[in-house]
Amino acid sequence: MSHIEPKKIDEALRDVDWVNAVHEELNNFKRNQVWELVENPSDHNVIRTRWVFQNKQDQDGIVVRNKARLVAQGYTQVEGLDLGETYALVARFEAIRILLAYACAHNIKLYQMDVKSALINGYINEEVYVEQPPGFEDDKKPNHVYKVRKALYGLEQEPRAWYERFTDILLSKGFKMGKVDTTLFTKKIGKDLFVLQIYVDDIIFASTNQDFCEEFGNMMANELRCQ
Amino acid sequence: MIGKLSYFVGLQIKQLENGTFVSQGKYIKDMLKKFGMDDA
Repeated sequence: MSHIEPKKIDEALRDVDWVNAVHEELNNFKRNQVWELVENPSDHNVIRTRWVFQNKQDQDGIVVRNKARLVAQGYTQVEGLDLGETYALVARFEAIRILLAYACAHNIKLYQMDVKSALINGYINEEVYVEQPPGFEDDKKPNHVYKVRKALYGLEQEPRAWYERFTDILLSKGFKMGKVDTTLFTKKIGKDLFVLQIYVDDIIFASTNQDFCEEFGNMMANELRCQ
Repeated sequence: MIGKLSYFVGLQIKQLENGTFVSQGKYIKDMLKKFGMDDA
């Protein structure tokens, strides 16, 4: 396991652990059919890609994984896009603390939900092209680009598409969106209350009736699986 | 996909019978590392 986080790909490729991490990411792309190599389209903007190297640590700060991630430089996507509309909404820190205090005062248990796989498994509707990853250009087709079929980290449409999808599910299940804080969702079921807070792909929720939490988990797993 | 709340946006959270504990130990460690002060 490497303990340094390289800044550039050539730096990473000198370390066997990072070489493995980079290949793992590229194999992932292949396995999930994230993209295909095509000729450079003259009528489309091609987005640059960049490697990000990060050491994953456990709670005690021990490095448990060298993670290489290829991200799209989505900020080069600005043309014709309203940037104000493309960001994912995040909860305010205060809102999270209030939720914690509320849960504590009412003696209810908080749960969290991990939807990371759901986030990258989403197909994108728009035509998006990205450059070949630095350090891994095809010798024979150096000018080809990748046409992206699935959401890549960094694309502008990715977090927003996710947020919309998630809120659509919530609203269809009778949840109410907070008027001030639109990342807070509530639902009243009889005398019981269910609250949920979104922070991009991190979700926490609680209910005065624990059965609802379990039910909710199953419902969400179902909804997200059949996309 | 669902579990007890333990870590959420930089907050380590532990809910016990007699109260809720919130700490940022991991966040602080990351910060110290970021600024090269982890062995200061």
